[in-house]
Amino acid sequence: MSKTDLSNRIRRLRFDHGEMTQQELAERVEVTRQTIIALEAGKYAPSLPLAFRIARVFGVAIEEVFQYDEDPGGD
Amino acid sequence: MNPQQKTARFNLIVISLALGLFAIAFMLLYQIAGPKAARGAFGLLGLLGLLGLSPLFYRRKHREQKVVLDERDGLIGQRASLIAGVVAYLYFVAACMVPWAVLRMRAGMSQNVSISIDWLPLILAGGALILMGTWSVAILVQYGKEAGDVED
Repeated sequence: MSKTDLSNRIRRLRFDHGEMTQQELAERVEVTRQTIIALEAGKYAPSLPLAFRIARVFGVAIEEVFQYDEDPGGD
Repeated sequence: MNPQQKTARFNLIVISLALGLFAIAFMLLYQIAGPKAARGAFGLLGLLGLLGLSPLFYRRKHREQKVVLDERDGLIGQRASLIAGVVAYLYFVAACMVPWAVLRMRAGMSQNVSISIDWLPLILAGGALILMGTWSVAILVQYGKEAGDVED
């Protein structure tokens, strides 16, 4: 899957939450670890329910986890 | 490696094995006993029946393993199915049009052109192989692109 216009702070948030491992996060949001890896690498844009589940695990709003770059190549 | 990847790899191994053995047996029998005997090599294509074992990969090995496939795997599977469907459609178009065009050109304006009906099941089986083979390659390629990003 190609890179998306969606960036995220999942890696940062994991470390801020007691150095949570990718496996722990994957189990809590009910996906595979490979999906967390793809998300952190910006290679996969999650579904809305998954994005909400991830935000809830960290106890923050969804916008604090995911940012949409509307005009990645523009000014 | 998740069940989808295992299935794709298993499919490619079985297809390669069956087609490889078939090709070898066909050539040997053709050389030794002639064209009629060479038809016996088609029996080796029965090995393709092993493809039916792939659902075994979807069994859960450990009870604590809650998630085996998720939404991303589903999307990869859908994309692979779409690619395989398009390739299989193109194969069937070629399977219908190429013999028609070639035989029509050879026969000129004559209407008395025909092919053996024995080609029909072979074309169907070929389509199934193309479908499964393309699906498997598409699965492995999509997962392969994401490899190498492992970090904790």
